[in-house]
Amino acid sequence: MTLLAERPSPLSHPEEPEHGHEPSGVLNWLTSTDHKVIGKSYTITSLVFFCLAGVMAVVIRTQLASPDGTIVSQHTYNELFTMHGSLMLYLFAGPFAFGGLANYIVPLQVGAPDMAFPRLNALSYWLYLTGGLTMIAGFLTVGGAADFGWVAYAPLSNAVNSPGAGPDMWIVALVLTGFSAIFTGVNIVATIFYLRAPGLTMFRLPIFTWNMLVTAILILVAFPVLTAALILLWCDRHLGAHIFTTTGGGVPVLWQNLFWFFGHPEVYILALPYFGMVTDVLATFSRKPVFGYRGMIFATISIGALSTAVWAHHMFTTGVVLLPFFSLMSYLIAVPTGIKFFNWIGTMWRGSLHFTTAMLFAVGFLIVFLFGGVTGVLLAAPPVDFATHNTYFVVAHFHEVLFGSAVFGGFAGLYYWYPKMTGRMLRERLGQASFWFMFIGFWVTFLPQYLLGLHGMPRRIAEYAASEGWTGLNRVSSVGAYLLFISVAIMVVNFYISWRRPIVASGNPWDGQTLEWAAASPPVHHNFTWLPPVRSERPVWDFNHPEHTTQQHRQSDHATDGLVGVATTGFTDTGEESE
Amino acid sequence: MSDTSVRPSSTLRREPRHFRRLLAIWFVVSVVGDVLFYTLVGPHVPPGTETSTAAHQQLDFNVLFVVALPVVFAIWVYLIYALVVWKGGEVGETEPLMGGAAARTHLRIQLWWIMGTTAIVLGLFVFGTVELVLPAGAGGGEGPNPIWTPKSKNPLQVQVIAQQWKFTYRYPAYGGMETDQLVLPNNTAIAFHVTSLDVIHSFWAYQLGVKADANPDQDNVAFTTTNEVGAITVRCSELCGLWHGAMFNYGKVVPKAQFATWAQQTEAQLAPVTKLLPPFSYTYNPDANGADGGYYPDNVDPYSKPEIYGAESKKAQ
Ligand code: HEM
Ligand SMILES: [Cu+2]
Ligand SMILES: [Cu+2]
Repeated sequence: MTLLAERPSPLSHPEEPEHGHEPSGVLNWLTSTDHKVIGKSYTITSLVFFCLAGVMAVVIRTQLASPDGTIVSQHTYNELFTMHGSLMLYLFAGPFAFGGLANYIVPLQVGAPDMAFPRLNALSYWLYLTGGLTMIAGFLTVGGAADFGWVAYAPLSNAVNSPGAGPDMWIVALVLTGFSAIFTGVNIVATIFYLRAPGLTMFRLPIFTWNMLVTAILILVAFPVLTAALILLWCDRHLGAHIFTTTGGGVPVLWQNLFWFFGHPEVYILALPYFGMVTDVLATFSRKPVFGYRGMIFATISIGALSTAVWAHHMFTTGVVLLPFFSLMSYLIAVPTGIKFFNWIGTMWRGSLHFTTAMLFAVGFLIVFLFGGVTGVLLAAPPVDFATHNTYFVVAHFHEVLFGSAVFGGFAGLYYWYPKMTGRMLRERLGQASFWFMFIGFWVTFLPQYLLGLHGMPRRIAEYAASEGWTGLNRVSSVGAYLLFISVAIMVVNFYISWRRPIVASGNPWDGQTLEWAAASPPVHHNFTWLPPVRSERPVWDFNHPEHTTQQHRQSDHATDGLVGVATTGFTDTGEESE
Repeated sequence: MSDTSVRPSSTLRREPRHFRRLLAIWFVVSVVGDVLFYTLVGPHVPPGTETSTAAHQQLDFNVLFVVALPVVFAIWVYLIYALVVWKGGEVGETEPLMGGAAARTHLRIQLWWIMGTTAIVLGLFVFGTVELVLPAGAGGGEGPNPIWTPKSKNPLQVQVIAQQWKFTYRYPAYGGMETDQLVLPNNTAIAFHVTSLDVIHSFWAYQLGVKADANPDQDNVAFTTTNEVGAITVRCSELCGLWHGAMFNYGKVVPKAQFATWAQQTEAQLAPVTKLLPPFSYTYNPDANGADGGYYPDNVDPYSKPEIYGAESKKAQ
């Protein structure tokens, strides 16, 4: 590694370059290539999709609350769970992370003025919005929206079994959002590799940024496969290609292989960003550095690598995959995940813990995701999978991991960065109330589903007979769903209040550690007016707590620190010059 | 690591022995949890013991759960302990801050953790695989050429035909008769041949501990051995369209003699219908004209109703 030159501070060009006339209002939103504007648009849009999908879930749970439910028809029910799943995974959990928070935060965390390709970034958003609206618009077609599940297994998804425009719109929507994700992936990789501030070596990046790097690479591995498969499916539907139908020599299971080759990396694309958010939140509110920083990074990388070799654990019962291989790979992925757990708690160990709303959500994530991960380990044993595959046991499992990451982890990130993104604080009390509703509501909803699965209730069924004996547990689960609804409603109220009666946030309200807290809240047009010197993975903390850093540097285990340790005397000077 | 000297052993000594406390709490909770689970819940864990595969699945679930529970407890105890002991004040208060090498990493304990978790998951993998291979595929579909087969040389062949939205069963040993109720003899090895006439379904016989996808044009074989008489619930376990939720039926495991009588009687009764069926085959081509799930053996042209099948049909017209 080479010695890096100190960045002169303040920056040599403190004045804003002349951009000419800047549009304002709607026109600004429509034409902006600023990662902050796009990131906010993404965040808001994806939260709207989250709320829509949440409403669908409430309808689903209401239908199942009593046997022989008659709230919606069979057909509507199939549309509802398909769109619930599709919205949650494709339009919320992913875009919220890599289009919303990462778009806003990664450039700040690496000390960059914007994403590497701002126009591509804008294109991503518009593709995403178009795709999302296209998917939803399926409800307006004569035959209704897609109703073949979020996995669209062939040949159920072909033109004979799922005729109509709704399914076609679902396919087109996913091609559009797929390209949007790919472009965002390219952008994130380029930003992290090429736009880092001086001194910010790879092993000084915040964990969130590291996780976004691995996520972006996974996007580039996984999404093109989905996009290609969708195009093939479209050819099957409209050009009689017979790729996924037996008539004409096609192979239906090929769809499953292609889909899950995308699908399993996808679930880590949906998990790793949230792992990163939680790591940053835990460190900040424990007022400690991330414990086992490098271990975290290598764990992220190995999760990313392993996640491309486990896809067929979704196909254990198809009879066409080599079970022990995929079982072994699925088990191995638990090891790096375990490292993360150990280090997350290690980060809190001996810290000074502050239970803000963000911290509560992060801890909620730990508790929920652990249970989901462990039931995943049970599912990785083929005999147990045979008993539970496609039952409510699996539904409970993947909600613990997905809801755990995207909602508990995601809201931790949202509460944490909301002041940065808006310059306003959220009300703590409302935040905590919404957390407790969510935490309790979550277990009430999903614990009964494990039992329902074990008692034989398949997933994706619109009704069941009273004689099955599933009524009681289903009812409990539905009550939980209403609690979750209340929790989200409280959160919306919280946003509303912060909008109407703002409490102004300072640049660094949480005593944060990483570079985004060196910018104003919200950051100025090109983000930074000055940057603290970067000598560890938490430059802002070093800058604000010099007494602490000096000691830390003498004891540090970072190989690179020897190179810059001599420069510690520069700290206070920099501060004076900067303001 | 160059920092062994700065590990804050002096501070550790002044404080309570966190590690021992943790270990003690974890040990008690885990032993109590495991014993309660295994004795109280274990015997009732689905899918029960009606067949060899069901019994094995029950055992596997219990073993995995008993191993997993202490791991969950270890992390929860560690987490809750940390939360309680190091709860600080509001943001902005000044308090002692942690820095230094010990706050950043502790290589020895991390290595122990990695080795421990690796050992556990490898152990579970070996257990899971043994439990997959020994009970001849553990009741899962193994495709047309099963690798793991039961000891019994000639298990009773039962074909499961799935279509939107029902299951039917053909018994090649009884003239290829087709019933809509699954009846099996007790204490007998069974080979299910699962196939579909349209979309993908999944044959799930809950009490038998058998689940095998019904793929069109594929023979998916699953084995089990019946051990007890009792009821069978068959449910479709892969989304297959509008009435997926209504795709279930019932059956039973009966004593051998009773099965023989039933089979002979039913064979005779159904003989006129069986004559009209295509000869028994491991896969079938669906008849596009057969409104009621008619099907033809593999050599018949499926394009008997061209307008459904797109491109080919245009040529035909
Ligand atoms: C500890 C690591 C994990 C393991 C060992 C694991 C294992 C499994 C297995 C074996 C299945 C197949 C179940 C079946 O065949 O029915 C499954 C399903 C699923 N998992 Fe995981 N999983 C893990 C983590 C995750 C994560 C992090 C996510 C998402 C963020 C996730 C989301 C899902 C989803 C959505 C399904 C449902 C698939 C379907 O439609 O049937 N899993 N998991
Ligand atoms: Cu997977
Ligand atoms: Cu079915």
